[in-house]
Amino acid sequence: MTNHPSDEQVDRLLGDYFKAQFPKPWPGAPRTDRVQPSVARTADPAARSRWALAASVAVLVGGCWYLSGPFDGGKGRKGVGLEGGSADSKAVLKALAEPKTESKVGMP
Amino acid sequence: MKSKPPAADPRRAEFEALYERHGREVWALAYARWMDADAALDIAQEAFLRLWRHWEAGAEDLQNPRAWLLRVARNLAEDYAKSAFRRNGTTPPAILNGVRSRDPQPLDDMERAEAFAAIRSTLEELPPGDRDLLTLRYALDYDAAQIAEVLGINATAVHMRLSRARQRLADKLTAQGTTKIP
Repeated sequence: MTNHPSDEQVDRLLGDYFKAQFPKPWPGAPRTDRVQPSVARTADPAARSRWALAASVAVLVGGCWYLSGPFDGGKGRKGVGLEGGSADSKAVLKALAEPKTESKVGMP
Repeated sequence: MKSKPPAADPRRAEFEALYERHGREVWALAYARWMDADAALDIAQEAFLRLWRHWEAGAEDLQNPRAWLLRVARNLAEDYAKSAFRRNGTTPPAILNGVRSRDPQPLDDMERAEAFAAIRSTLEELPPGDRDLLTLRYALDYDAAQIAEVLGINATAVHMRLSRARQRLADKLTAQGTTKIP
């Protein structure tokens, strides 16, 4: 038959038990750098993406504009436009007026 | 006591001071709920991380961070039951007859481990409120006044409940034949 433990024995039992359960050494405070949001993130988490999108659109528009040739003052590149091709050019009219040409091209 | 988060480093310092001051109490209440030291530590640390997030979110100042932490830890301890069940079935896996399976005991510690297992199972049969008292009393060496402060009850009630809990425990341990730890 087991004797009923005294108060001191119960104290000692429980003390031993709980002391053994208690984490030793007591760990430090949990790290907070993983959960610390930066100032930029709190201000606008999508700001970076927006800047990247704006830059992409700017490059696209600029590229199209460049390829369409407006950088020479709106006149177009040589050999591509209608430069020197006006209908009142004397050289053209003279050539058209020669007798061997029978067509009525250029005649009023 | 007022908790006000200023700039980053002072805030971290205040956080560590709070952890140093109240971390063990938070652990003790979580432990009293589950009788699992590792789970209690996880719960305690999570409670403190939530305090940090609370500060970071710019929420209102906490007038009593200690009470806030203890309340969060209690809620987390309740949630732990659900998460442990969801992850692992009906029994938390780290516990085997009261002996933490992560720390295998050598043969010469078996008697001690058995005695602890008996105490643990006996403690589990006590009402949760009694386990709170006993954990604060024996794990942290708190006196009745300190326990009363943590639990928000008066010191006389602590004396009475402690005495009753000890008596109940002694009866059960006697019936099991556990009267000393080798």
